[in-house]
Amino acid sequence: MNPPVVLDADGLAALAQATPPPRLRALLHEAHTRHCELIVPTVVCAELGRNGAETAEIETFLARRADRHDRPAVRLEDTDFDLARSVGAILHAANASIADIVDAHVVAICVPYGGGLVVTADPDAIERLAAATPATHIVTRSPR
Amino acid sequence: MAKRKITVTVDEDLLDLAQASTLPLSAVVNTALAEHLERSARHAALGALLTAWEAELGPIPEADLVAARSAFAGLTTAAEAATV
Repeated sequence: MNPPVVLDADGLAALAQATPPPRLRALLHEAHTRHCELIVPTVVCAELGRNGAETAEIETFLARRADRHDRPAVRLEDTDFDLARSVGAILHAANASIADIVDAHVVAICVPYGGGLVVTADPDAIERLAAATPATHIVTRSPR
Repeated sequence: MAKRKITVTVDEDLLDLAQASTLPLSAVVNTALAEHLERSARHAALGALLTAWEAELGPIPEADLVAARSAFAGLTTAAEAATV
């Protein structure tokens, strides 16, 4: 099971732009070559939902279908009880506040894979939470 | 949903493990096949998206590709070290 590429709010916003940044395109190109899944915690959409314009861009992106493929390229991962429990454990271990709940989802999604590449504009926040799960190796990269 | 009986060939040790579980083997195979097809469709959709971007926006700069390869190489190396 290859480690996934997980997008936080900045990563998803960059992906949904009409002109996605070359750095993000390069990361996704490499993910495709290596058969790595592209995952967004569904709760990230709530964070972006505060901005109406970005919500519209994301809805357009997720609705985009290639002719022969009846799936978006991104898998939205809903929060079930197991994921919620993992998020809570990360917040507790990192002594983090509830304000970090979305970033904790990003980290928690990497845990079953043993790691992941997180596309984020706030690597410090992700790495602070990732330190609470030392068996999970997380690499962060900016989308821009 | 309608079901159809098929014949598949699987590794003997995997079959032993699957039959030892409480889940019906058909359900296990059905779920695994559905997940595989889902992953394949998303992989194909990502490939189509990258191709469309290349047509619209031009090729990805080589420096960005090199940096991306480096990021994944670090991820793979660390993951392999963690499993040793």
